[in-house]
Amino acid sequence: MAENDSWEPKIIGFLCNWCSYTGADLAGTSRLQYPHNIRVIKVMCSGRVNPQFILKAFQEGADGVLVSGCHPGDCHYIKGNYHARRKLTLLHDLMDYMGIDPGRFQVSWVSASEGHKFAEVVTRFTEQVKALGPQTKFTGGEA
Amino acid sequence: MPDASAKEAQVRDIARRWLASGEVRYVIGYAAGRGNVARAAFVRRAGDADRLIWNPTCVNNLTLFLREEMLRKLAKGEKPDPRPIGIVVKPCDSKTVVELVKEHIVDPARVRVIGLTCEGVCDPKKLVGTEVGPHAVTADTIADKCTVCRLHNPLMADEVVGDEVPETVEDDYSDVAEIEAMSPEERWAYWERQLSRCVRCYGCREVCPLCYCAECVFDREKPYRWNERTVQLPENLWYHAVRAMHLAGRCIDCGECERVCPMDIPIRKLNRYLEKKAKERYGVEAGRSAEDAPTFGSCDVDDPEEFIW
Amino acid sequence: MANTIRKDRIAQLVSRLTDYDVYGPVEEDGVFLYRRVTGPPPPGFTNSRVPPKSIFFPQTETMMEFEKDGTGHRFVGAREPERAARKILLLGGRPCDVRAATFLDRLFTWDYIDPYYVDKRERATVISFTCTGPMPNEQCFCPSMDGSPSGTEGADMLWTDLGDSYYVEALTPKGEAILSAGGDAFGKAGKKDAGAAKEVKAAADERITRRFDREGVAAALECLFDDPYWDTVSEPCLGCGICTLLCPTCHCFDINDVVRKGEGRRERTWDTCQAAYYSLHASGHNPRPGKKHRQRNRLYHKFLYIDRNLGIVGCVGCGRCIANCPVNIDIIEVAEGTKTCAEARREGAGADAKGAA
Repeated sequence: MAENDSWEPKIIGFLCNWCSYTGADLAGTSRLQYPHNIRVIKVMCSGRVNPQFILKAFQEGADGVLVSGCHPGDCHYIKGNYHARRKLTLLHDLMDYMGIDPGRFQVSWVSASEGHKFAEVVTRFTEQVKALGPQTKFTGGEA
Repeated sequence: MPDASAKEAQVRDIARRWLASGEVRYVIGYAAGRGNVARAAFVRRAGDADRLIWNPTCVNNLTLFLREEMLRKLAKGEKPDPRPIGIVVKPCDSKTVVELVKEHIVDPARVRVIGLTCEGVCDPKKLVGTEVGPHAVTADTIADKCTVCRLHNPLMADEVVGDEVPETVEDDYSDVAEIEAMSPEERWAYWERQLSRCVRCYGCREVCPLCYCAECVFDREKPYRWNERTVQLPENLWYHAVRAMHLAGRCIDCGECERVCPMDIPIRKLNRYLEKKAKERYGVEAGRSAEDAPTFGSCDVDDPEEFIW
Repeated sequence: MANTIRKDRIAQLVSRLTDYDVYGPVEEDGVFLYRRVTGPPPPGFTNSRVPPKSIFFPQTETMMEFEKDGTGHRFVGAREPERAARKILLLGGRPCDVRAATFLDRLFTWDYIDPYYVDKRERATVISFTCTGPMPNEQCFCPSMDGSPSGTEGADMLWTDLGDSYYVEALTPKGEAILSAGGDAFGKAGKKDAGAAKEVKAAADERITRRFDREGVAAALECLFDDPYWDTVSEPCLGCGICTLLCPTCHCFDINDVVRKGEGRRERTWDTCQAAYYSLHASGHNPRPGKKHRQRNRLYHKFLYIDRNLGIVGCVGCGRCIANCPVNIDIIEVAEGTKTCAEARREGAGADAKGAA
């Protein structure tokens, strides 16, 4: 059990270049504390995130995946995050339907000025994934 | 179906006429098959039009061959033939034509549609072990997709064969609701059992008229292999989840994937769930009209987002 | 001298076979599959969808495991996965599938001895069941391929269903070993049992009605390689892998390295000649670019190449490819069609020659 106690989830974060990535930067420059479990991949827009990226991250061993973009209406590309919202909401539904812990996948809107919100989202999501334990359904590993 | 043979004669007549006048290159229709499934027939001469049939074995969706032809690269030295291709469709198949037109795969000017009215066809899997040949469509033999079908009259048809059939049941998605009612653990156990069986023959992909990527993500090797060839649950799960997402909001529930599956995986239950969700959330429905915007190609400021932080 | 076993004693027999991993047919959502079992085959069992070749030649099999060294750039520690030492028992193969295993034996020991297959095969004892009960499908034709619903080729034992019991014949020392391990789970067979078994076997033979006249197919294929015949045949083909993946004699595999998180494995997975990537070269060139080339390859391999190389026909007549083909491609029809086609071409050529003269 000792191993389990020290277990830390691996979380992949797809952050949009214009808002959330800058928001994460702000969290850093403001010296806000948040769990170090998140590994950030910068994308130009949350609309770039193909649902299969998320499933692939799970297959490569991620325990949780966070996608974060500009607030609705604020997209640098006008509608990118609206498109993301449709796709990712259906993916979330599908994960629920197939019984693959939809709690491991989260979308959030974080603007460039919301360093605090970014830290909160990462903290809350890390707690949520920690509670779910290691992800094994896509890796075939043992729980 | 008392009028099946009359409809069959009419289909043959239309095909004969089109082929004799040379207005179509060929007609894709149904011919008698082995077992309880009709065979695709490619009729090139008016004299062969009598090969065409219409009966409850015509369960398959032939629009796949139309899409294949539309995307085919011309052979070396081959001149493009501008004449349209004739195709025989059921109402459900006609939704695929609509979807293919919507996605700019099929140019409506390059297709002539013989649309049949339809009140259901037989599921060949329900007829295993019975005598081979057309069976009557009864509650025991009807294909599952037909029991929830709302469309009995073809869309986009140049010639309609058969009298108009009134719309019947509203689809209640009870098959999907059954799974939704399970606990998350039960749902996982269910899909784990189903998807462990998959042999990854890719029959569901190959038969799907809407799976037309030039290079499918599951075949892709360069620069990155998305899914390993390993035939085990994690990879099978990835395959089916990604495939369902690729068809979300596009699938018109022709049921071909489930029909061809040699391992009897209930693939329709995945696709129909997303169909239901897309309808509930965004009011979109695939295959209604070629004028509709594609589900993922459109968006609305007020789309629901209850799970987003 | 033969024996019998009551159906309700099969579980007891299995429990006594402590050094065997026992595989048998099970029904899962209406599909028969081979899995580890502890009891008799389910009532009404018929041919599985995936043939039992998967027991000796799993669809995915690890050949080697390795890991990255400290630098993260080199792979070290390549090792073969530990091989099981336990014996394997296939309880309830159908004669066609069991016969197919003898083809695979020839193939996997032909020019290179395949250690993975041979290892499992050597540990295995095979019990064939005379093909009774529901028909596997309406399309099977084993008698035309020199097989029989009560055939014993490749089997160590043959069990024949007599209602409440099976009539048991041990055919090899491996089969005898099962008999002695089973002890009193088996009973002595009387004259009546022998007579009944004979009748069951005759009835099993009779109900297979499809015939395939393969005489002349190989000769016809010799002269049809570039024929437009293959365009017609392959026109409705989807290019899925159902016919080949479900075939008990198909044996192609693909070898891949699966690397993840600093460790990896080399594994082989069944491949199918019906997929475009099967013959795709690294250069991007594909010598079998179209469906027709791939359909043609299937026929040539089954009825010509393997005959040339090993002197066997690559088909046992189980009918799976016909029954499960989504578009009704029928291997008998296609193979017999080559003969008519070759005949027509010869006549055509003859007429041309005359015309020229």
